[in-house]
Amino acid sequence: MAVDTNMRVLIVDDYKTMLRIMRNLLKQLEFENVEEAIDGTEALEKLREFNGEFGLVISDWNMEPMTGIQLLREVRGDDELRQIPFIMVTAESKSENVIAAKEAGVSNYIVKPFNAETLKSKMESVLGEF
Amino acid sequence: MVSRNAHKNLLGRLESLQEERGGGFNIDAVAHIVEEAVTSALKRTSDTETGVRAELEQVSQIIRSAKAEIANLKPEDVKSDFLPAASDELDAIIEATEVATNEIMSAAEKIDAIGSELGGDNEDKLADLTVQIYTACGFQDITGQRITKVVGALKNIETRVDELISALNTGGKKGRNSKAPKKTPKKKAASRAGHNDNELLEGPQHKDTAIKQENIDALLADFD
Repeated sequence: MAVDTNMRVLIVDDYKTMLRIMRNLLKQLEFENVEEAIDGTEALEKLREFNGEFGLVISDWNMEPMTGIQLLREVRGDDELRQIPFIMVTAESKSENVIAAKEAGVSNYIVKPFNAETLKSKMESVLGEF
Repeated sequence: MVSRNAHKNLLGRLESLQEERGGGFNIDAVAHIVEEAVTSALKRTSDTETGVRAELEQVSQIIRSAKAEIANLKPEDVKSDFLPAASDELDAIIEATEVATNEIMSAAEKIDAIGSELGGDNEDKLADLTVQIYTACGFQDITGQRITKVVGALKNIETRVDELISALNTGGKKGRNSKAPKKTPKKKAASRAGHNDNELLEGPQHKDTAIKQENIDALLADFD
């Protein structure tokens, strides 16, 4: 079954430039229904505002006041949101980070700096090929 | 050790005197011996005190010299001028790279739009190139985080210099940031994230020590 590229994608990062980069990369992959949030708190509000109607969350880790790992735990702890695939995209590249994210229920993990191929392959591993 | 030897010596002399006198004591002779012993002991104490005093003087002189040398370094200037100036320069670098990155992105977006108008192979070729530009622009995020770490280190140095100024009581002008240093934004996030999460926030690793994407993939695969 083909991936619906019209799905709503939430990108979360406190660097606005990174949001812009991510939006453009997603546009090249034909995902144009993109919402943005600059930290975990705003992301959680958007997820709940749309009743969890998101096909994917792509989040940075290091943000305030709510970090990416906290957002992930909130999402996985919410019955309405827990099924949403969640990809962490972060400069935090220690094994401990990857393990903590996996234990919190991350779907995939991309270390910055990354290229478009890596983003596409990780999205496909989570959503299926597109 | 000195008093024990003196005591032994005194006893020895008293015993010799007792033997000379056939078991009895001449009070004048005893007084003479005791007086000699006390004088000797006082002299030794005085010598020791003099030695200790001289050493303390030396230590004091070293401390005064060190204090003068540190004062000549003008730690208050380091705190009030050099460190904030360095932080400002780094902030300016972040700002300048952000502006430049956004300009590059804007240009790439325009190229994308032109590609859409062209259509066909040219659109694809231009799209491939703009994707490379977009991902390369990610450098700004990484350098920004690295510089933020350096700014955090400077704040830490500022705190230490502050402590040094207080310890030396050198006075001097108050720095712009005379209050406790602000935490960097990333550190604020860390401190609110709890102890365990805090330990996980280190930002970009050096390329020689950072684990690669393929290692992360392998690590994730271990969970499956």
